[in-house]
Amino acid sequence: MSIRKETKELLEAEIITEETAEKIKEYYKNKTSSASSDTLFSVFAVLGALSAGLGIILLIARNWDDIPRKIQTILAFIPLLIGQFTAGYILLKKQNSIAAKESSAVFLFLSAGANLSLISLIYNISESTADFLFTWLLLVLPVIYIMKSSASAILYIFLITYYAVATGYGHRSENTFNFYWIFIASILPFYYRLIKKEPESNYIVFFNWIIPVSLIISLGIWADNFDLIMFPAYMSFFGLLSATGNTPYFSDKKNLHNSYKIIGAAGLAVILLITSFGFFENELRKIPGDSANFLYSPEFAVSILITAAALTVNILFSANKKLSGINILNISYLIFFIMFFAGMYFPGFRISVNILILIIGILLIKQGSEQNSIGILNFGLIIISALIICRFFDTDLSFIIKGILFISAGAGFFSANYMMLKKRKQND
Amino acid sequence: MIKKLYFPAFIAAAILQLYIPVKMITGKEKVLKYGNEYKFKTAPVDPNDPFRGKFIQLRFDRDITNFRTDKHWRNGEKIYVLLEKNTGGFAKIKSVSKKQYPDNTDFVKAEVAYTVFDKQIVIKYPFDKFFTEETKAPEIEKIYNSNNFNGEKPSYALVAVKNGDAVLKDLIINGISVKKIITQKNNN
Repeated sequence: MSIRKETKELLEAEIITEETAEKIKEYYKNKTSSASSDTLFSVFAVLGALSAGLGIILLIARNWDDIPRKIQTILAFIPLLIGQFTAGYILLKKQNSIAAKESSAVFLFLSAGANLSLISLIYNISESTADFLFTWLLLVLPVIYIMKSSASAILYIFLITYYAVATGYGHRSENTFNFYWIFIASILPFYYRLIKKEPESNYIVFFNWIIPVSLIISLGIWADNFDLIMFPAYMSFFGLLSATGNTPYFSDKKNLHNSYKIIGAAGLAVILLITSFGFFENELRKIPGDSANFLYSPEFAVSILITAAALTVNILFSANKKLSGINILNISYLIFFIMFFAGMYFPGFRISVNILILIIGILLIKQGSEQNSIGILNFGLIIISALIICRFFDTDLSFIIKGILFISAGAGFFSANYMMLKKRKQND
Repeated sequence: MIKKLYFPAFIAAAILQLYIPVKMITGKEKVLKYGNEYKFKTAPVDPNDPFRGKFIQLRFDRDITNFRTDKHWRNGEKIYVLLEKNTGGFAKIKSVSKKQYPDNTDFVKAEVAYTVFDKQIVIKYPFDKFFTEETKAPEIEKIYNSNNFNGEKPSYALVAVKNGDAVLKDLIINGISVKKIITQKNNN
């Protein structure tokens, strides 16, 4: 409901006076108009800088071959110099305009890339995309911090993720340390500063989503000969995300802002479901027989590190230790970690994972109905139905059992939601 | 106090942003000016994937890309290739090494694309893209491919080499410079 309607209602109910109502309206009018126009302006300014930067590249690329090499080289520097000059001017004279800072930083960011790309064009330098990105990213990193530009920081995260994929996956990935980790570490202080200094900034929501997504995409570049061990690594990473989402800073945020909680919970459930298949246990049992020792693999080191990190955050910040669905899901990474490494040597991994998923699902449904939360209730129902669907693919169950399972899942969905809604109506 | 440092820091960053490309350019210019020229015989490109953007993907003749060594190589490993000229004046591999050759010899820094049968390697040179304009690229590619399949004279890439660095100067198809073909097309 809008403020206008609300004040009108309060006025009619004689809770506030005419004067107070006017004051309230005036207050919100000033607040929203100044804030939103500045945000809107900065959005357009950034978009403008983006398209102008790209436009220059296109203009130069046209009729390029006819220009002598010396002039080509000079032309390659013009966008960069314009970008540097504008950014320098704004840094000195217009410190307080967010729109000006953001847009000039984005323009400088892109023009530095355009400059490098034009030079490789002029001299036919056929370096790989990854090498090109590497130079570009190093050169623009200081700009992000000096101009305090969130828009260019977001652009940077997109590009470093691209870099991670281009260098980390495929045949080039052999035994070399990936600079992605240094790049991502180099942008985290910016994120931290934003949270501390500008907690109201809209950009924080973007960062909250793209940083975990970038990390999820890139974590897999550690996969080497023991890629199966990336499962506990990913599982613990999702555990770390959801533990982060439950820290005091994030826990009372709205779901849109608390990406850590959402991505973490969903990721934990998905990994558990993937590993609940029979083929996973078969692969798992093969690991000890491998000629190389998995204890010395990068995957093992990474999974130990991430599990330790998740555990630390969990211990430091766990507020309530009640046995609930969400709480069990949040520590499921630890149970999984133990089950995974025990499962290499002992049978029963598959059964244990299935039981774990079932327990989590049931506890979530219980928690959802107790706390009157449709979200948690349906999350539990989705986990259980997904488990049933996964088991549908296992051939060793008879069709009758599969059929009964499906019918009961469907009936469960319907009746649980129906009962919840009925209960809510009664409470109202 | 910290605010006062922002501008000097920005100037430093800006200088670095200019220094790196300028250094790239001066390095390449030196190679073009003082480097020795080698002709790298080209092979037809795979007709299914000739283009990525607006450049022509060159493929070099097996003579200059395939080499048998006595060492183990990993895919993507750095490799130094010492060059010599054969009787036709085309570039030929004299030897390869994991370490840089002395400065007065003609060698290029390249990459091991992949290995065949352990010690037989295929080299990827850092000058296998000839950049040209979007509109002209398809035409040149047509000439390049038709000539590589049934040309009277061989096609080759003209490469300047100096101290491990190399610059692709021109692409010669059937004895004619592609740069000239482009300008002729423009004048017509």
